[in-house]
Amino acid sequence: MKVALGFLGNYWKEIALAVLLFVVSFFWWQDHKGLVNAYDASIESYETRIKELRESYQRETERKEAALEEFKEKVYLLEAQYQGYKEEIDRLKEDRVEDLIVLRRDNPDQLILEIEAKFGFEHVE
Amino acid sequence: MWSRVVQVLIVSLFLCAQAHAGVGKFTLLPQGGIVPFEATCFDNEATAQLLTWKEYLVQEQKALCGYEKERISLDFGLIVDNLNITLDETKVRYQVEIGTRDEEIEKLRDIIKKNKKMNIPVVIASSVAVGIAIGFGSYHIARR
Repeated sequence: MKVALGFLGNYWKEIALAVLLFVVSFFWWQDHKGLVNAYDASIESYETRIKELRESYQRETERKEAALEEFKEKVYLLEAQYQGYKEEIDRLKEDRVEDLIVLRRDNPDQLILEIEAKFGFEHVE
Repeated sequence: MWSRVVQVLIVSLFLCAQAHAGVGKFTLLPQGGIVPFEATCFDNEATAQLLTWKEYLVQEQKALCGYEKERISLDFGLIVDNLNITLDETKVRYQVEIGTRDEEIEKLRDIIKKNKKMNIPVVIASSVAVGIAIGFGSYHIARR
């Protein structure tokens, strides 16, 4: 104990210097750690942001593609419906043309009436 | 001079009226028959087609109109859907930006708080102590 106290008494300045250097180093390390933590926090934040933004853009693209597919399907159905209707009308028109040809032969007076009614033309004998 | 112009205009008005006046005429003829007026003849099929065309014209045009309307509605529907999707995802991205920035700021605040807690009183004391120690140390080493 005495030896230790003697050593402390003789070399207290060197010991104090070493302790203070250690304290300064500790604070320097603390500051450095704080900076590193701040840097890590920024990196983590950027990584999270990039990941979520990528997901969002991916989701947007997928949703738009789905909407486009739905649109194409609807257009296809609409065109098919319209085409069907046109074909139906064409069939009706063909039947009607045949009826009118028969009418011309069998009942020309009726045809005259129809032309007058539809076009407003005057019939001349 | 003006009265002359007015006269010409009135005469041309009457001429025009005459040019457009009158309804069309038609007649049904047997093969080889003679038309009592200058005419453009259609055979029975062509006449039937003309009549049919007239009968179905409104229906066809209504159908075409309906089709075009639906098509335009679908086109604009797609545009609106795309805009809504972009809006939704832009809102999400905005929230992500704000959220992550808030988190980052919170973390940085915590770090600053920790550093502040440890440093303020101790740094002053240690700075003074370090100054004294360096002074003593230098003096001691120089004396030796």
